[in-house]
Amino acid sequence: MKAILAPALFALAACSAWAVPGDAGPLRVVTLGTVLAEIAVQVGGSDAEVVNLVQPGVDPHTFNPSPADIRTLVDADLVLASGLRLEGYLDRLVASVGPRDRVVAVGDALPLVLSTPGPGAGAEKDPHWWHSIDNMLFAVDLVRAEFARARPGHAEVFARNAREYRRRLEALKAWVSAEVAVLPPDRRQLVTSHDAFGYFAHDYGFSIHAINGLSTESEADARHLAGLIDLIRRERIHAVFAESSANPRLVANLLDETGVRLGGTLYADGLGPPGSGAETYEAMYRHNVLAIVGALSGP
Amino acid sequence: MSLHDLLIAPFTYEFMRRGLLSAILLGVSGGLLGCVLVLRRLALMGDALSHSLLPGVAAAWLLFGTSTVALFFGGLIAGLLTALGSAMISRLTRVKEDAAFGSLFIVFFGAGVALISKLPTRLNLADFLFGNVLGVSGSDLRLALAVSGCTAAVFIIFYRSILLETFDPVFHRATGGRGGLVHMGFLTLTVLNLVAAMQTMGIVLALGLFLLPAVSAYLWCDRFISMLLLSVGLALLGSVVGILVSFHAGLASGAAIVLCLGFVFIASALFSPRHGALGALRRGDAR
Repeated sequence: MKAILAPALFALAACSAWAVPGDAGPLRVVTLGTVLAEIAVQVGGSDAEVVNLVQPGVDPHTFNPSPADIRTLVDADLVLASGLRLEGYLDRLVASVGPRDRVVAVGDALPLVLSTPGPGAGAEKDPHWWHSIDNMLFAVDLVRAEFARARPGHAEVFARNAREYRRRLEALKAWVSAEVAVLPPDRRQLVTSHDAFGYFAHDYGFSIHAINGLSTESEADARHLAGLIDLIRRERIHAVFAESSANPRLVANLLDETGVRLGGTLYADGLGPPGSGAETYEAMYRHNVLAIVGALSGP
Repeated sequence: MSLHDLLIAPFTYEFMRRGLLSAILLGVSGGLLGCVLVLRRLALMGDALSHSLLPGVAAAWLLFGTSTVALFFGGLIAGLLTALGSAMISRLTRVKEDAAFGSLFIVFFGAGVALISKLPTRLNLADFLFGNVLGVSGSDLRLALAVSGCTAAVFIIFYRSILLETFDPVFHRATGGRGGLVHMGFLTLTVLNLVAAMQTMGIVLALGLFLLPAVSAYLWCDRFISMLLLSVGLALLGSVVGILVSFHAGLASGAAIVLCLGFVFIASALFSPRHGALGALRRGDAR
């Protein structure tokens, strides 16, 4: 039903006028996700106005912009999207809100892009790129370059902000390496709701066993769940992880069946809401790593 | 693949046993209820009712999360409001009940879709339109048990009233039976069963578990009691085979059950010797 409605909204938006970006005033940035919003705020500082449309807790795979959102998008100087088909609605959005170069799909330009053989339909790109800190570092630079292009006069401020933020991300990276080093390689098995931690697994040598596929929309089938139960028993996996934006019922059944404990709730598709202890990228990453290492290193 | 792998191995998993048990429980009550819906020509009304549950379930999900009890009461309230509302409209205005029902249920369904699109919930629409047998919880199962027991008890206790009201409502009322009450009772039972079947079958497909065995049985039986028994039997068979098919073929459970029952229905409609299409063509008495 939503799929039918959306093109009409986009068409509506395309008819209304949008402002031509100039070099005056703060840069108006609209982001389609919490991680992107943080990058934009950190790099832009006081020289950018950042509006994030996809709030914490909203599933970015299935988000559907409202007419008011479309208005915000049309008025923006720059739109940041995750890309790699995380936003299934992005192509229609780009077609309606104006020139392609106002919409930057950050993920599409990254050096490290993983692919997973999708169910039936060949390889599918994994859109959860921010779970690799190296990708984050690259994305910060990319956003800095885009900002500088849109507001050349502020380029130095953006460069200084980006440098500072990258320094903090480097520190986070060192901390994560030290934390994960505690886990022996045979303990590095991650059972999660949907396949969102491929980049984390790639960087730190984990294997991923997900109930659903890359998108929260893909359905699990009974045989797959049965296989997962067998695997948990055979490999003596200690814990299963729930996700902040996924249906908790399947995980609950998996715990029931195998008797393993819930390792905690991971933030898979973005940052947490204010007060969750995962409202910044660094806090989110620390939360996930502490939950994973804590649950898997236990006796 | 050995017979053990085919039939037994899937049920070594707790979640498969739960899904099967819930389908069996609802097959019993659905098979009974479906017969009355078919004979009283309420089949389409049942369909309308199932759609009208959506806003109740969506609002309950928003307020109380995935709690089975909350979803149950949310759906129940929405369904009963639709049934009672259209009964009121048809009695107090010139609009007939079918038009009142048809209009109200689509308003309710629209409200449900609006709620879901508006709220930042994690509600997966597909899951409760089409069900997900993998997510059946212990409380879902207890709910199915209660509803199924209730339905079976009502049929046993009120068998005579149901029989009379179904085949000769005029006589039933003349002898002091209260037809309006029985009618509302059926609609309430239908809503109860639909809500209980939501997790396994999904609200759109749940009605298939009720109607398809009943229409198939109607094509074979002439006595009410044998139609009831055959209908329950077919519902059970369809549930077991459907769940096995969904496991081995990796299909959605509700759809697999409905397709198995649909196969039985189409075969019955074609080949039933006395009431089937081929028999009628051979005898030359097609209407």
